[in-house]
Amino acid sequence: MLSWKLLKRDWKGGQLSLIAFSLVLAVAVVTSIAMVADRVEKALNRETSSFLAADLVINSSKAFDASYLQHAKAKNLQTANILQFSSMLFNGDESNLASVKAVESSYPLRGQLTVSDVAFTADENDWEKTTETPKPGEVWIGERLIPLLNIKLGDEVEIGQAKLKATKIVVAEPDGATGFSAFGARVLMNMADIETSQVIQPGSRVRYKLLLAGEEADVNNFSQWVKDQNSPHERIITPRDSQENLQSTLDRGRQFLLLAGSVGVMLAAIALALASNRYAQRHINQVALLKSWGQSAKQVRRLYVLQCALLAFIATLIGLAIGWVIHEFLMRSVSELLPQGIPKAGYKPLLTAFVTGMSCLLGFALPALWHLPTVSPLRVLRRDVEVSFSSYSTRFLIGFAIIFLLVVWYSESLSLAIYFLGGLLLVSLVTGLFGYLLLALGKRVAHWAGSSWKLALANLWRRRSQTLLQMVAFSSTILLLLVMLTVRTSLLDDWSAKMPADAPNHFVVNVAPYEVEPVNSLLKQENFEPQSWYSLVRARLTQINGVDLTEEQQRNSESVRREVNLSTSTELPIDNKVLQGKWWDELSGTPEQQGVSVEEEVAKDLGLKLGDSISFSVGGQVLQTSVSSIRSLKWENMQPNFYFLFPKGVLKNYPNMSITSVYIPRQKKTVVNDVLKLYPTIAVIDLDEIINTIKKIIDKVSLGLELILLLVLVCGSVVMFAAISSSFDERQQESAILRTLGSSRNTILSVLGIEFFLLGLLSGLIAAIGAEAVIYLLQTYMFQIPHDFHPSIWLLGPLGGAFLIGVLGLWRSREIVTVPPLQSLRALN
Amino acid sequence: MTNAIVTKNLNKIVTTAENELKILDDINFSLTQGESLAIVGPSGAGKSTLLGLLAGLDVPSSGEIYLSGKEITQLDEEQRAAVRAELVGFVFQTFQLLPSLTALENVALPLELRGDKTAEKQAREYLERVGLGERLKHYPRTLSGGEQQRVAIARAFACKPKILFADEPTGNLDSVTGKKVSDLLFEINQESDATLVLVTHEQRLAERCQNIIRLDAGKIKV
Repeated sequence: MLSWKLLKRDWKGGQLSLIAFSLVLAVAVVTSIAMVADRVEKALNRETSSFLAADLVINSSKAFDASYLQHAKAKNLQTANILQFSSMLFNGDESNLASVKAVESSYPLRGQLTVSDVAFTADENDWEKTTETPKPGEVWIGERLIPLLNIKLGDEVEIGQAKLKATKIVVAEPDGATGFSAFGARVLMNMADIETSQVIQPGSRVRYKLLLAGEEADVNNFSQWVKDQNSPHERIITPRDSQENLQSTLDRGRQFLLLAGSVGVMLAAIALALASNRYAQRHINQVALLKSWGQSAKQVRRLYVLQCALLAFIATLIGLAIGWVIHEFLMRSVSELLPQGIPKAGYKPLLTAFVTGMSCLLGFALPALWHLPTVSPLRVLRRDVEVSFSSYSTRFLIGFAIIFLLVVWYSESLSLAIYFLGGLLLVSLVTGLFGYLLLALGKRVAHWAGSSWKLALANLWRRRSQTLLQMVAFSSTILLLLVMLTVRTSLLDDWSAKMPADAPNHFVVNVAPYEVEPVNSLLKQENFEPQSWYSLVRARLTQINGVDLTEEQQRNSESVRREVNLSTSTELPIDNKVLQGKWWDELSGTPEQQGVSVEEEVAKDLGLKLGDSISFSVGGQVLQTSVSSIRSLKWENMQPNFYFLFPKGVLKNYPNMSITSVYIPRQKKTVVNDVLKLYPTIAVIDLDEIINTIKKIIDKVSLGLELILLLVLVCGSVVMFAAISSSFDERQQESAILRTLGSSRNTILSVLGIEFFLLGLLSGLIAAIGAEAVIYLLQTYMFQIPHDFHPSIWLLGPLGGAFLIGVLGLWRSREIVTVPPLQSLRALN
Repeated sequence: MTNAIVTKNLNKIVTTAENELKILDDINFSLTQGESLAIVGPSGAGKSTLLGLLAGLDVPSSGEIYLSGKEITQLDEEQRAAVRAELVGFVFQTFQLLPSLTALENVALPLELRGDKTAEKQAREYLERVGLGERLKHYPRTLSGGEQQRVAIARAFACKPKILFADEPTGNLDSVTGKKVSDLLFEINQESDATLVLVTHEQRLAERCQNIIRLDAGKIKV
């Protein structure tokens, strides 16, 4: 095939290298980013699966039918059965109520247990991570039981009729800190000892849990099967359900990865557009020649389109392979940081990269080449015959549309595409306008500058349309890099700000009204600072606007399926935001008339609007009120959060308990026991485990972000390289002439250096303007974190741009001064 | 004998911002198959414009051109391309070799575009004919000017054109190399019985042709 032959020859002759390289790189970067993103996301999901110790948990009040296990086996899923119940524990004369968890040896399916031989130690060297469980005849006990039962390791503990030897202290269970199930001190025993213990009798209150893990599709499949069984006793719990307080962190991490991928696509597209433009320019004479030999425009077009398609296909395949290698290398370098192992990437990243490669070529290379066949054959005789290429604006529009569609498809977010492309459009306009003015100004002031400056400024002005095009490419690239860098930094800052070292790590719950004051002083006495106290009333939502809740409403909302906590507050709690309606201070009437403030998700699930009347049943009494505001809150802030909030005093006539959160350092955890001994009805929930996991996950997300940023930087450098190359021929010719006229190597190098330095400086300045705007939009509307002004951008943009483009430009141009001038001139002839 | 080229009342007018410029003014001549013609004249006389019109690369403002009996001025670009493919070959002052192709590939390309299966074999023969049998795999940038023009001559004749147009074929060469290249051009032209039309500044080269047209300000000077 002739097209194939020509393509091979073009490649051999070096004509294709930049366009092919841009395309290969575009695809490689998108492949690697998409694959890394996909796998990091999967790894994070698996990491959060450790919150459940599984990928899926079925929770039931009845023992599971044998068909469950059979079905799980058929789906190749790993399983572990768990029984949870409360029982008295005896050690000699000491006894205490404990929350017992009997597990099979396959537990935990995800995550690890942390055990120790020393209680309340803060030294991590004393801790041991394990996936083992207590052997039959053994029991592992929670730290808080040690002083309560006065146990030493090796002692025998009685649970029902079973005598079990205490062999380890449980510091943390992977699934130990979810929700409010962590009441009481924990004991872990082997499932095999349940029979001897005889603790499970008809009528005993036992929770049965079936833990499952395996391939995503199989797990989803099983989950659907369980739903189809339609058993009223069962509840399906996914990692997503168990990690409300991590959701926004993970979501932002995901958004950042998508953002990076989109930026990769945009950078690759710019590189390709530049490379194709240069390719088209260099092929004008070839087309004229082909036409002088009698090739028709149609034949020439077919030839080029075929070449283009072949090139796209081959480059895309190579790009996919290289991208895969890069991603594999990156993932290997971080694999030990992800103890859960990294799941394989799906097919979507490969498809994304393939589509990207093909569409980039359609959107950028083909428009640049499209009018090539219309070149007049007369150009073989007369170089001054003009070539009418498709106008830059048409090509810009086509390219813009393709990028827009790609980014929307890729990020699944219309707003993200609008922010970014809006920013790039702004930068292009600003570059066109200010770039032109700055160049004109530069040319005027050049009279006062040295001869190299004069020449450099005159060169930039003379080639101004090309200079402006290069500036658009440079400033867009710098903009994208600045945005990535800043968003990453501000995300990390925001996350670490959310997780200060002294974030509350214990919830103190079930405190009777008369106990609040003494417990508060006891905690203060130990130098702990309890946060606000909230009174807590257990209630069940029964009616909305006088109508009983429908089955669908009950299914939709977790809050109505079980009892919910109602609370009161005068101030709007930390991180809460009123979205609709008004807070108490803006409402008139008695507290009772001021209604209830509802959390936005619950309001959405139940279809609640402002003014709707709702009824609760509180221990048989009816509490009727109306919705006066809808509020958002942050689950990850480690504060007590409530779906329904009332003005202070409204709930005082209903049976209520209080709750607060407090930071207690590890070494002082025994204080918890002192409180519990004085006030035995109080419960303390330890959040250390969950906080540690959140911190760990944030660290991992951050690491993923760093890797991706690195790739985007490489991609950015290629764009700059392509942009620098776009004026290479002209510079080579001019420099050859200057050298023939006797200019020294140094003069030419300093002229080139100044040109690139100025290009970088101006582009960086313009990029800083655009970046600040895009970051404002992203932070405000996408990540919803406070926006601040970034002086670093205004410094890094111009200086970084000047340095990077200066160095890259000189490096790319080294040939200009090393190749003998005659050879340069002949090569260009 | 049929006429290879006939022109009738050929005019070329270019409109600029200020006025109309008559580049060619009433050009009439004819040339029989196998004859040679030199078009000479000072710079700006319209030599290259005339060559472009004769080769069907451009269209006149008025007048007619017949190549091997076919009227080409009424044809559209596609149809003229077909005529060029059938009848015409070129040699240029700037050689116009494709930098990314070797000497052999440069010569073979126009044959390959016609779908000729023996393109490479013929290209090799013609390169040997112009004395470059040892330089087949060389890229243009590694060949001297004279060698590059010899490749271009091999390329032009490999397609066996009925009419060969040469635009200043020795214009970029020194006199010794130029002499060698023009000897070769005339030699192969005679062997192939092609009609040769060349534009040149060089009196000696022009005098080797059977016919000479002198152009001055777009008119034939007798």
